Amino acid sequence: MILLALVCFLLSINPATAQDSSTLFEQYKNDYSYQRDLYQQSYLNYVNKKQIHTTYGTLITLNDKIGATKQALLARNNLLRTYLMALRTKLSLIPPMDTNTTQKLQIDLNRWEDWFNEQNTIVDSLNNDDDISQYVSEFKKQYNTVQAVIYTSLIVDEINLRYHTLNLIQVLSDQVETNPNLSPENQQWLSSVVVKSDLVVKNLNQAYDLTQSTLQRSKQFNNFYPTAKQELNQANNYLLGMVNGLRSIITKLDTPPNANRNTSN
Amino acid sequence: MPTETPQTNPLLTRETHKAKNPKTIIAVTLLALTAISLLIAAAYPKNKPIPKATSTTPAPNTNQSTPTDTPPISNELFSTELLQIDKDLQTKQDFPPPQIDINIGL
Repeated sequence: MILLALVCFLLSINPATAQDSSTLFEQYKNDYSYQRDLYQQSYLNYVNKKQIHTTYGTLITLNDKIGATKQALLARNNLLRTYLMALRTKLSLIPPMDTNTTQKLQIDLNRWEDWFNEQNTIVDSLNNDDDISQYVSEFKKQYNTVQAVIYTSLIVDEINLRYHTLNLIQVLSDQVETNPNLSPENQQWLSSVVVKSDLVVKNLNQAYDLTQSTLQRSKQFNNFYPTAKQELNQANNYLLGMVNGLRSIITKLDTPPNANRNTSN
Repeated sequence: MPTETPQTNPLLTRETHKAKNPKTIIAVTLLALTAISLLIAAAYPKNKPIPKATSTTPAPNTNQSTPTDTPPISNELFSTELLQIDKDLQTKQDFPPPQIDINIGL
């Protein structure tokens, strides 16, 4: 009984830190979902109070509208802050190809999380329509940069994943290449893996370049995500082709090349 | 005049009584089981391996070239790695930002 308990205890110990990040990501994602519900409720209330004030235009309805606006602004800030937290944690799930780039993005995301926290203090101090209008116009300027950081993080996260996949394929390809049952044709195919890898890397670099060219521009956000996503999809297609080719070769490894020739004759 | 009562065969009566006795039934059953056990033990002694059904198949032709001429390929390892790659490729990285109204308050 004691031995059984000991075995269970040893099995429960998991040294993987990636799992810690995964757990944290799930937790932050749940927080984000909760804040999203709160935002939707606050937003509907804001729309309702705004409509009532437009209809009646009294001091009471004005105060109600300002109160509802502040609630919606707070909920929106909390929603974006929790999204950024989850995204920052998500970047740690896959070992990055370029650690500096990923870490820099995580620092940026963290900085914006703090910024959204600070915004809540400002929102609390808003008392009239003029204050709110000024706040909204300032927020919109900053949100362009926030969007650029968000979409860059999403692209870099996917680039990291594709590099991870490419690395797995290259390791497997090297293992298969040393197999004595490998036929000359398949040997030739494996030699072309380097060329295919270059194509994948080219697409991934182009996707990353799109994020950088946009960030270097002015405060205006130009959504590069769809174009970058096309590059990533192309890289994904190359990777799929590579893994299908490898799978086909591996299934033929059970029989030596001589046996294949005998059967074909 | 004394009346003659019908006489029953005492042997028959004893046999009938014996057959209905549960102790006897148990004893007979145990004897039968012991006998069967002895028969099985005699047929398959401990050191004698029990013949398998596959042993009736003809022996493989040793002259024929088999894949065992080359070192066995660890295809299981490859399949594990292929599964990992498939999992990577199927992973959806979509975590879209929330749809928000940036004009709240205007």
